Amino acid sequence: MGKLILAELYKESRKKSFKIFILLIIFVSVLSLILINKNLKLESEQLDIYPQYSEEEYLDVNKYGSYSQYLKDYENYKSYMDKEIVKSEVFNKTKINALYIYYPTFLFVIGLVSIFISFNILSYDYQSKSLRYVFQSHKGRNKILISKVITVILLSIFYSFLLFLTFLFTLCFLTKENLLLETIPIYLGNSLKYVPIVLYYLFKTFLYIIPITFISIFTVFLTIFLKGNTFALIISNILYFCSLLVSQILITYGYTFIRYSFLPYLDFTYFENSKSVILNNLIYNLDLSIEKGFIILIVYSTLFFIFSIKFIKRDV
Amino acid sequence: MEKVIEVKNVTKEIGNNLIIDDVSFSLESGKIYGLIGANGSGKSTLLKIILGLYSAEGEVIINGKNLRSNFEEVMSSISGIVDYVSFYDYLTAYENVRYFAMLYDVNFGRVKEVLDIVDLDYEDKRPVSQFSLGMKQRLGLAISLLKNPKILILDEPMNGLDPIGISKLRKLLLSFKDKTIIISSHIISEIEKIVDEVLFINNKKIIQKTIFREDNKKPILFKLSDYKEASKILDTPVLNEETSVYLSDNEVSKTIKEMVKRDVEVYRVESGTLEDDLLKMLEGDTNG
Repeated sequence: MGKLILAELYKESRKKSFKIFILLIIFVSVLSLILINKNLKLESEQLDIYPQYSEEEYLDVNKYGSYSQYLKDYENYKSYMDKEIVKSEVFNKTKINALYIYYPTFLFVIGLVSIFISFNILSYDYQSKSLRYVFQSHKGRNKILISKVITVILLSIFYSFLLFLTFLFTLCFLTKENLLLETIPIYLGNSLKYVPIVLYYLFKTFLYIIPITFISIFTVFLTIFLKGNTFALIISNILYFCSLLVSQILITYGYTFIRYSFLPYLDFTYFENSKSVILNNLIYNLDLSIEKGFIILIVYSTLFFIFSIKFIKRDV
Repeated sequence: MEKVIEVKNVTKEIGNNLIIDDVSFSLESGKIYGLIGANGSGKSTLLKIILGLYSAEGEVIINGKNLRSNFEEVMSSISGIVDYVSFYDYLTAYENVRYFAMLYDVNFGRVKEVLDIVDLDYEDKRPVSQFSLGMKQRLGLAISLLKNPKILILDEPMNGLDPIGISKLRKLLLSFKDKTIIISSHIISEIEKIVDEVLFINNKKIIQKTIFREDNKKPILFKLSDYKEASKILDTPVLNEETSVYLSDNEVSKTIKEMVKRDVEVYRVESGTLEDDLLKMLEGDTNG
């Protein structure tokens, strides 16, 4: 398996797109940070606890919801918001924190790079018919597929960490501060703790690799299913970009079963704004969270991987 | 001689089209086999089935092992060129072969060896996108030789090659004494020069014929009244009233006598070629 992964990495690293993505990630993130830094005004966000709805008001907003459930959830919301208000007062006091807020958006964009790599790693083989030589390997199609998926994930991790390091060094340069010494306030249990900013965003990088891994496996599946047709790339991109919007629309119309699908969890930037997540959960009786997203995405990734194994056995 | 490939009752349908119908044959070690048939007769499909690229009903046994249940072991000894492939056109020839060497778990030293065999420069820095069709065919052959396979399957390897290229390929294939080679081509005259036996694929079936190279034997075309009885006399499958077999002058007169003895009317006897044989078969097929 190791040799198969090395073979894929060898082939992928020689593509022009590999070098272009490296340059693009560095150039775009450095340029954006310089521009944001120039125009940044340090302002703390004013957080308010929104007032409790009466039953009539609640049903006006969510006619499919349960008011008794809403009342129970409102207490949880209030205690959460008390903490958030304390946290937000300290969070945006430093320029580094304010700049780092943009990091998740950039991580989301890495997903698009992963979609492209996932499509390309198989579509090229289908279109050039080189798959007929690849499948003559005695290793078998399953192992070849696994090696291709692992290669895509490794490349996604590589690009994510390249982004992380670019952010780290650019911010050190722009703020003239040592980021290793900076801390960020987060709630661990019931108390507000300060953790090193580098560790916090390193953890965040790992977290964002989960939806990126899912969309990569999904793209691999679609590419196999459509035998390398460009539609696989288009469908994956649309799904990745519009997943949150589609989820929100469906939820508003009472289709809350969507919480069991992968759609609300493809864009983790949604969970960056805890206030809106809690409010949505409260108003529409949902339970969307990163933890649930983690489990759901793993389940769907496994499912699409099994489908990929089934379809890769077709005649080539 | 040892049987290296046994195809047993193989049937392949693509969509609702029956491409190969209950085909069985066996091939011996160290021989070169030609696979001949009209366009769309199922030549490529059959080769892809033997290479494990297509699934099919029936059994393919390579070196005594079932291809499906012993895939890993079987695929170490078989390799081939199937259809026109453009490879990774952003890589050089060396990089392409090196990638496949990793995939096939072959020592990197073999990369230069196979490029030398097919006469491609391993130091050539040009990407494959700048290669001619003939160079790409040779690159395909180099990749197929990486595993040093006992069985080599070549689907239309002469496509895109100039006369010198064809001649070089012929010499190369004849130099592989220890390999069993199946070669399909539309250039029947070329096939005739290198193969020991011919597999005709026609009407979704296979007919196997031996080509005798001894000086005193030549292809003889017969036109007969009873081709079923003639089949027994000639000891080869005969599908219609016209067929060609390799016989010496002495054998021709003996065969005609035997046919007369068994009430098989001989309408015509003349020197034929493999091409004549194929054309007659195809004519028979078209006429119904």
